[in-house]
Amino acid sequence: MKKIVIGSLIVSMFVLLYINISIFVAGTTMTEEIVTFNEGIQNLKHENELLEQKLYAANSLNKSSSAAASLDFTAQVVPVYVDAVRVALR
Amino acid sequence: MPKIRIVFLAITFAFLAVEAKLAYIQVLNAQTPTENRYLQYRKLQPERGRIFDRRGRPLVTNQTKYQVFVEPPLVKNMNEVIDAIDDVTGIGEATIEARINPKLQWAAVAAGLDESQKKQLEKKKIAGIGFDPQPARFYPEASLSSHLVGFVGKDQDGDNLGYGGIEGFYEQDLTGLPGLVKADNDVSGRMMLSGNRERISSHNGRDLYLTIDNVVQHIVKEKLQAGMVRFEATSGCAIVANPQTMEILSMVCLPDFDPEFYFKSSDDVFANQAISTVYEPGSTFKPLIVAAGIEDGKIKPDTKMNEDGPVKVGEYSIRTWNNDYAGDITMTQVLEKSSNVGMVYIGQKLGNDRVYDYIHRYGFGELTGIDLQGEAPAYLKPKDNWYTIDYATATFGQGLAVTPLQLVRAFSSVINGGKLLRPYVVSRAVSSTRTQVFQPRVETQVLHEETSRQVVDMLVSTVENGEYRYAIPEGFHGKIGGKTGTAQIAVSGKYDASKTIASFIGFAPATNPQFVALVIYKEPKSSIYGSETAAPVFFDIARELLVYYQITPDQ
Repeated sequence: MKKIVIGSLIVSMFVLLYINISIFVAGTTMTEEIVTFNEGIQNLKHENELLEQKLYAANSLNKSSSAAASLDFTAQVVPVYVDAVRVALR
Repeated sequence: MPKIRIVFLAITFAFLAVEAKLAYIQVLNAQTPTENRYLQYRKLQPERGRIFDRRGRPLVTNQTKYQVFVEPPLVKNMNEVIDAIDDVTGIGEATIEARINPKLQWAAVAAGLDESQKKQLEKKKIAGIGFDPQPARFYPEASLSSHLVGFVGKDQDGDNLGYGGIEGFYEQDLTGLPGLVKADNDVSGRMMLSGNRERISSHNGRDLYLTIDNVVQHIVKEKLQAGMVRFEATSGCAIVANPQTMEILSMVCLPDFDPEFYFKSSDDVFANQAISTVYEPGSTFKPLIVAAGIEDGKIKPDTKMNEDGPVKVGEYSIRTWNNDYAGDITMTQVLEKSSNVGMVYIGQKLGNDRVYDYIHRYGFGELTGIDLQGEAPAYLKPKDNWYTIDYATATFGQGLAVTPLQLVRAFSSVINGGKLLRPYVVSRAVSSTRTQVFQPRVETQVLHEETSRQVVDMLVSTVENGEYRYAIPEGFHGKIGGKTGTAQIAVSGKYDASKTIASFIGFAPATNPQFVALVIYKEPKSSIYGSETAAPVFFDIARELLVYYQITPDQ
């Protein structure tokens, strides 16, 4: 009887030890994964921010007007049809 | 001793050892929570709200900049570090050297590095150099709306703080709420899933959608800037608004500054002259008094008066701007000729009390309530301090101080059916959970619609028959109204005839005004008159706005 009790205590100790270690390892693995995902999200956010910045800068009126000036389009952007409304209304 | 006892004793000793260590950590060497290196608090920074124009085009967004730091214990060759940082930042070797104290573990060297500068430094692969990301604002249109949006600087604790314009006025909305993570970390500083762990999410700032139109803003700035160069003015300012709602469509003041690099500009360019600088409006004020005279039934557009010479007010003699007198003229002609003598006549018909009352009713002497930081109320002296000459000069816009925005607001009430509205620049505030829409707000009804209609006709006639021929776009004759203003600047208590503030305020189309625009130049040198400086710029702007808003002459 005594041997059975001692035996089962030892077995349950090992089982508990195994469960404990398993939980610890699983926790550590999950932490690693969370950290990796967090870093991934941060990198994506940063990449998105950089792309957004490039897109906004490329779409800006500032960029368009300097491009127009460098291509000598400034004479054509004047709305001439307002001074020749009859043509515009036809 | 039986084996089982040995095992038991070993386990007991092991537990005692753990208990003893715990007692040492928690009792003998107890630390406060903030000193605890395992339990850590981390602030979750919210993203600052972005600012868009009325069509959703970005005016202000966010970017990441970097602070470069040096860890002296890790540095192998300090000269190499200094050279590398100087190469990229250009702040000077002596400055960098002074900022690095070799006895410290960490020293901040430079801030505001962009992505490409960071990459340049990283490429050099020098030990001891590191980077801290810092949130910063990004302005795709650079200085296009600098006075309007303001800028983000630092407060005394080094935290971001909005200054001026929208950034200052909507600081709370744009900042958002920071969050917090409380977690146990392992020895390497990484959070652990077990143990203490709490997370309060951050709430990003609200995105603001303005009434401003980027395209209109661009048109106005381009024309205003060209005029400033042409007329050699010291400064210029233009406001375009929808007179029916008082939505501000554009607000540009020059000289301006780049809000991203605000620290490179001197302090005197930060003030938004459109709302915080007062000036004497001169003749652009006249339509307001004419409207008051019609509203009170004292005059009609065709009422005649005899402009036979200067008019005496007390010891002062008031003349027309060119000292030319036309004899019998109607009230419409008073505006066309911009007759100071005619305005004194209207003022006398109204009476001093009513002149003062109307100035108040038009909202002068108080804040317009615009949602921009830095608005000045423009002091209006108490009635008891007004002399008879003050009432006379006020009728033609001299001797009182107003802000450009106050004038636009009051003038709009004259042409929109008599409604005095609160001007505003933010139309929507959008958060992840709700959208708040801001509506036009009528403060008071100053005039009857009929009065407004009559004054609109008089202002159209002023443009058509005034003493200066304007470049009115073809097809729009009789459809644009406006009034010039040339106010002398008081220097040491006297008016200097060579220094003026030249302005023009106008609107189109006359039947249902869709925009009102005020153009102001301070101290233009090529001509001192509003009709030869501000007015042509107004018509340049109007020509493009008519196209942009697809307003046809038959509308």
